[in-house]
Amino acid sequence: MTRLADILRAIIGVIAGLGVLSYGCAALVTVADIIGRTIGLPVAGVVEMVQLFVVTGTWLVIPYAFLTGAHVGVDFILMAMPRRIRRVAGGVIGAGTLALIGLMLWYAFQTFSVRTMFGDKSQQLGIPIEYYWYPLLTGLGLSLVAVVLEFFSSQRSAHHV
Amino acid sequence: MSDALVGVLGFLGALFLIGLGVPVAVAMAIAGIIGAIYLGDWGGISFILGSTPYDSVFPYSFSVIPLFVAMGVFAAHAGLSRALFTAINSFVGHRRGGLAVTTIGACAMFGAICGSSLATVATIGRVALPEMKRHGYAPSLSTATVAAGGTLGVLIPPSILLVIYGLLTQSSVGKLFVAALIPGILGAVFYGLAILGRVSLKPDLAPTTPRLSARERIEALKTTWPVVLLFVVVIGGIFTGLFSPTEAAAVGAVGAFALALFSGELNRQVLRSAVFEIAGLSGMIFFILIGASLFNFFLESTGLPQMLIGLIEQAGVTPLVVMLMILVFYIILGCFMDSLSVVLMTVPILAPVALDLGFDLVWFGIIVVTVAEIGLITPPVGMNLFVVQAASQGVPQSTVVRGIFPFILADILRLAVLVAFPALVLWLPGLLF
Amino acid sequence: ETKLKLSHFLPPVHGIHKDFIVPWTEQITECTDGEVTFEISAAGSQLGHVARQQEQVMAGVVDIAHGLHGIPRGRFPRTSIIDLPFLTDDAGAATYALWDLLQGPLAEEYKGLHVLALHAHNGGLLHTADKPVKTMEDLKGLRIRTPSPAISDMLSHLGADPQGLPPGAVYENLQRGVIDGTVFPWDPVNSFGLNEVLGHHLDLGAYTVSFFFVMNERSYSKLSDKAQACVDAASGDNLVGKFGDWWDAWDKPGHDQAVAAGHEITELSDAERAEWRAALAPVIDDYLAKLEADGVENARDIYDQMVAKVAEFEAQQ
Ligand code: NA
Ligand code: NA
Repeated sequence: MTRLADILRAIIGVIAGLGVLSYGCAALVTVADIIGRTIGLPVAGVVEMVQLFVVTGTWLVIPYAFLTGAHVGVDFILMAMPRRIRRVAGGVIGAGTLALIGLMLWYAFQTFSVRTMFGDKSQQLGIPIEYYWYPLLTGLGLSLVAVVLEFFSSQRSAHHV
Repeated sequence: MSDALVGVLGFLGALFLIGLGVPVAVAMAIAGIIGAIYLGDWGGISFILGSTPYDSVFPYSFSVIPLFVAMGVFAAHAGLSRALFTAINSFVGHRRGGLAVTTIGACAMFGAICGSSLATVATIGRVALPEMKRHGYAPSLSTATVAAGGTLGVLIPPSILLVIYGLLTQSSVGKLFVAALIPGILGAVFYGLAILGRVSLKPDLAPTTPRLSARERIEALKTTWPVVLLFVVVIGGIFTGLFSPTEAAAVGAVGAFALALFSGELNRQVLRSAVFEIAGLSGMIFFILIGASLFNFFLESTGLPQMLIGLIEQAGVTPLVVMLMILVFYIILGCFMDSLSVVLMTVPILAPVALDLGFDLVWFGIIVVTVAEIGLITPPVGMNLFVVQAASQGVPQSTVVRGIFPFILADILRLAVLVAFPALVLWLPGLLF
Repeated sequence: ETKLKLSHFLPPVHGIHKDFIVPWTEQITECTDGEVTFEISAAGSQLGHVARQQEQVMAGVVDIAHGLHGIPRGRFPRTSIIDLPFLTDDAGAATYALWDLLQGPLAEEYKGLHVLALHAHNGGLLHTADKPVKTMEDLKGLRIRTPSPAISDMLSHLGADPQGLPPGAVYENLQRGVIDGTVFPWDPVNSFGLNEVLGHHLDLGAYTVSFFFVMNERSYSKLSDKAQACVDAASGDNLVGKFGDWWDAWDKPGHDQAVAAGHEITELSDAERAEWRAALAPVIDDYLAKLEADGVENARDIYDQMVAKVAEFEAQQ
């Protein structure tokens, strides 16, 4: 069980690394265009490439943000409660987060189906819309996994404290 | 129950969830979903659920978010914060309270190459806190100084918060950046005065340190060239028209990465932690944007902003009174919420009100970001207070809070000055655009 | 009582919101004695994305939507043929042609929708900052912001480098010299304040961009007979005739500003337009061939019908 959790964590970490790499590509292609256009060699469709890299990067790093609990949260009401209530509340919050991401994944898949059915493409380079959606759906799916992992590890640490 | 009242309840419900420890993004999303269902609009909210994971990330101008984050993270790892601190300290460190003033200066200058407040606190804190401790500064002064100084990272351009405000209100990010310059510097000056005032009342808070020779000063100054270079390239590039503010983030990120590489401090392990820092921060900000879009869909269908405008027009009070009420509301909200969610939750409601009252939206943006940033240092929930406490190893929260009040006072004074003299905000953008 | 949701992608200060949509809703509310009211979502709201209007109204998230046929590209391939270069430079003519063809070859693109109006803006111009463009040769190597795939093809064919940019980013990129110019009608030149950064305008009457104003069919059939009659009275033939004058009025401030600022405005003569059109014939051929390959088998036929309808309209004037 812990073994599986470790493997999943490692996978999410590697995916986050790829996400940051994608951000790096967005930066590099922008800089290449800035330099290129001063010497008459601009990068065609640079805006669309940046958008593709940023959408990809973001959906690859979001699961990691859930894993580390890096999302902003404050708990001044909860901290005043006994530990038992805190554990129950933690469970409810985890379930709520899971339900939210699950709903999002379900409806995002419907939106994805509609847009690919129409064969949407980017305006200039004609990048098929699927390329933006594959990392998005992957990221939402992995976020579900991350929330579950984070939930069990927080319950365990709450138990030991 | 009128729809506008449902909107108010939804707003309070989101606040309550946040207080329960629900992550801000999730709290906003859940409040938005439940509110929309209550209004009988499941069709609408499920449509937004399916489209916002794409639409909240897709806008081209949002590419600055991860890239400004990356710029700050790499700048921190390139040792730039230490160089800044040492250089400023060599000039003012020997005066009473000089190390604290140095910290503020270093925060302000680091803010000029970093888009986020938490990164500024963590980075400058790593250098300044041990230094002040070594010289016998009272922890209440040292920690509070770092926490307050960190807020300058939000306002002094580049600023992620201003980019998001610009997108919400469709105002020019370039203008917002330029407009934030003078208020940001003013903030640093007021913080400095707050420190000097405090140590003159209680000199034992801050012992003096030895004075350095002119040669040592120049040596220290020389090590700051990477900061100057990065700032000049990024901000200079925007002004000379070499690239747009959106593109500046890419230039800054690549530049900071190159500096970190050349500094020799970027080994495998540092690179790893930098990458995960970028991933965690960017992922968090984008997910908050997604949660906020669900919440704002619900708020829009309640018609709350229009009701507020109607109420204000009926009440017949002057715009200034309304603005003061808005500011008080923001300061109270900031006691409990972080600045990004404050901006995302309130600007869609209050920007139309401000516009209706005849206020300039660029000015309002600077004011909103200034007040939201005060929220970062007001107890009980101030993100910077938490971060500095975590970085200070063993200073209790109560000590940090005790030291922060003079800085809050300085912030409120600065706010009053900006409201009284809007030209401080609008003069520079008027000159350049 | 019924509350209808209406969404569009323009800011509330725009003529489409002030002169067209708001009065249209008021007319219906009045006609139904308050039975039907409206909730309008404009640009900046969660329902105000330009690329989402068609999806929203199809899904019934809103009852009525006003959007662009060309964004996202490929949703209305038949209607979008009106966007081809040099088909017409007149909002009235384009609107007339679209409305007429709606009963024929365009009908299948509006399944599940009750069409209230189709319209198109006046012929777009080529605006540049420092580099004047008067002939096709002047375009070579310039970076120009493009509004649609058809215009991208046209610009590439003439040796320019088309840039896809959101309209809100044009000012910043013109000012920084990231792009040399943009293809726009006069109206957005005014609403985005572009005259501050532009200096030259070539009125080549090159193209138009078409808009839909549609209602979800289920929402329409749910209305009472009286309410349906009121919607009908405010829409269709009674509405489309107004767009020609409206567009002229919406375009005027941008044009007058440029004149007042002393900009150079060049207008193509009919002979020059014919030259451009001849030079661009291969682009139009390619575009129609691509459409046919993508499954719009009667693309050429639709194009010819549009040309005929435009000529018919101009003959009436
Ligand atoms: Na900053
Ligand atoms: Na606070």
